[in-house]
Amino acid sequence: MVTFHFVPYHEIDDLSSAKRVNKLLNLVKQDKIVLLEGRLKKEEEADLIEITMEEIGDQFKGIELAVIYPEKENMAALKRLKFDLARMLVGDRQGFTIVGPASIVKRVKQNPRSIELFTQERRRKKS
Amino acid sequence: MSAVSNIPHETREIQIKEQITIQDKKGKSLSFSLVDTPGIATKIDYEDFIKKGLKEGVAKKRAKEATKGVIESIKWLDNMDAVAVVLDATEDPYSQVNVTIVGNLQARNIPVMVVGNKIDLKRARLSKLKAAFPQYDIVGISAKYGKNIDEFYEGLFKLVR
Repeated sequence: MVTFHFVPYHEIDDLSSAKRVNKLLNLVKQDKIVLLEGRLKKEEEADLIEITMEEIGDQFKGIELAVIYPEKENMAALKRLKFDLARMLVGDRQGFTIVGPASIVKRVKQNPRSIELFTQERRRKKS
Repeated sequence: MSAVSNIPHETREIQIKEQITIQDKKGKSLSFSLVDTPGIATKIDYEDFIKKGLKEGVAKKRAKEATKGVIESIKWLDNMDAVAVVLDATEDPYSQVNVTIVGNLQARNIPVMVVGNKIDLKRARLSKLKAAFPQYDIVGISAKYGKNIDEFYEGLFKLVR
C-alpha cells in the first residue's frame, strides 16, 4: 500500500524556509509520498536535499524528488507577467512537487509534462 | 583528478587543484583553481554498493562517506565563481537534482556550463540535454578518451568572460 499525502500551498505559505523543509521531510519519513501544491523556492529545494543527506541513516535512505512546473518560455509576454506577479504576491503555487521516501519510490522518470513513479517491489512471503 | 569506477560515488571528497592554466586558440590564457566535488544525490543506500560487489562493512562505510561528500558539495557551491555541471549524456537528464542544482546556481547568478560526458557511447544523447536545459550552452565530451576537450576549454573561456 502506498500513501499519498497532499499538502496545499497555504499550509506552508506562512512557514519559514527551515520549517517548510522540515514539514515535508517529516511526512516523507513517515513513509508517505508528499504531493505539494506548487513548489519550494530553489534555495529551499537545495536545503531539502542537504538536510535529507544529513538525516540519512539505517532507517532513512533519502528521497526522490520531482517537480512539474509550467514552461514560461512558451507563454505570451502578458501571461508571463501575470505569472510572475502572482508568484510574487501569493507564492509559487503553479505546478506541483512530489517528494517520496527512497525506500518506497525506487525511481522517478520525468519529462517537462509528466512524472512516472516507480515504487520498490516488496517480496511476498510464501505461505 | 579522481579515479574512475563503475561503483557509484567513487568521488566522495572535495578535491582541489590550484593554479591551472589553459589557453584558447587565440593564445589567451585563463588561470583558475579547479574544485572537483562529489555528484549531488538525494538518496544513498549502502545496499546498492553491496549489489556492486562490496562487502557490507565496506558498503556502509562508503555510504557514510558518500553522504558526507554530497553535503560538502552543496556547501561548496556557495564559493564558486563558475560551475561546470557534468552530466552523463547516456542518462535521462530530467532528474530533479540536476534541475534543482542548475536552477539554484542560476538564482545565485553563478555562471553555469552544462557538460554532457560519455559522447563516445552510441546511446549518448546530447539532444536530450539540450532539450532539458535549453537556456544553457551544452558541451559534449568524452573524458575517458579526451574527445572535444578543446571545445570544453572554449566553453570555460566563454563562461568567465
